[in-house]
Amino acid sequence: MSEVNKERRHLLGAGAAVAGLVVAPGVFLVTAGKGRADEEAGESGPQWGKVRWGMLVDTAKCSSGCTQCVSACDKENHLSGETLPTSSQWIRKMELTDRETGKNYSLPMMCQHCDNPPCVDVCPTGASFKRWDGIVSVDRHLCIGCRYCLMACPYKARSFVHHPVTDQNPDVPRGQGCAESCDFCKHRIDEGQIPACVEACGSTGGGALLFGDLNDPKSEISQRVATIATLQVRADLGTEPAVRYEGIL
Amino acid sequence: MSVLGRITRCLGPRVLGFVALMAAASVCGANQGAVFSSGNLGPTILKAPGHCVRPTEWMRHNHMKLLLQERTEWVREGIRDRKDSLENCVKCHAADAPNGAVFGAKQDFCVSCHRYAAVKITCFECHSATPKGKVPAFHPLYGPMGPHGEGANAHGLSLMMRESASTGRLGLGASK
Repeated sequence: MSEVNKERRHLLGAGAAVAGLVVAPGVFLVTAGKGRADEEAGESGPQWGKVRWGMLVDTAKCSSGCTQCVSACDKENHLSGETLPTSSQWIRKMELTDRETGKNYSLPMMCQHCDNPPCVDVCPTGASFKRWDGIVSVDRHLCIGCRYCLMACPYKARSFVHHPVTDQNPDVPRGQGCAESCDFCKHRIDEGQIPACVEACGSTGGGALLFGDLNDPKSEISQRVATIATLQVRADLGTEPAVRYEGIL
Repeated sequence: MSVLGRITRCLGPRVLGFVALMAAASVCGANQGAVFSSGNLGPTILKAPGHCVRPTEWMRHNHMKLLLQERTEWVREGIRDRKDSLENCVKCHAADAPNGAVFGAKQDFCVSCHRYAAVKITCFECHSATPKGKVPAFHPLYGPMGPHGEGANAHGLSLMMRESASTGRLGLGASK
């Protein structure tokens, strides 16, 4: 290698090192910032795979006509509550009938927080992402509104915001031109609370929803999914949803 | 008539305003500490109760970088550092605002400087411009004068979108 090339490499390397460290005085790149945050957060901070939030729906307790989970979601996230084709619906109630036996089932359907989320695979900007604790969500700062994730989701869980939004919950920023879906009320989870739908179902509904950490063998949800038969919707697709249903086998 | 008045009449107030802005900008470049000291030409900045999370001078130049880092940690990592959050900014800076918001009317905290610097704010198309539990005095996207009022010029919506909103096509604003 010629002397000029060596010098050039040296210079480029030094430039890259400086660029990697500091963007501006006092402001670091994300990777550097993450390290700092990890130190501050300690054991309870973000550690990939440590926590996997999941939900278990007991369809036997979910009664037809009860929409407490839906109204709690609308209230918490300031959704309009309309059910037009263009309305945002983060959770919806479904009524199913077994054609052969005539048995009716009622269950909530929302983002299944897949371990292999198709919406994340197809997102061209990285806006649709899976968080360290398994929550699948949209980074609206990066979303360009292409709606590819709406097409890719086998559960029809994603919505697109068609109209300007004006009365957001300060904890749940949302606006026109972005895809969105249930995020397990991550603003509540980060504060140590449970999702609004689970809380409402437990207090005024039938108590059909159980929320917890699937990676913690001692949690109630882990023990229940280990002992009773549960179903992942469209398990054949290999998306590995974190939402499981019991009683619809 | 004063010299200034004659110049104003010759050049027109807008041109003069532009010249003054350029002059102010050159002053800012020379002395970054004295950005907003040019009498009536500068923005009127509402005082917020309490102390800011960073020194004021630092915030004037770096608030956008702080918010960028915060948003990444907040959204993607779930590290909710309430102190440096936009929500905390709004909580404090909207506290003493006449309409209880940081965005909407031209005197509001964020708008006053951004209007002066001609930098569009898009934060409040999604984020709430009012603290939690508070109801804005008027629609934060439009301002006190309605969709075509003065406050409306400060927000980030395109003219087409504003018109569609005011004609009710988007299900917002005044219906005919």
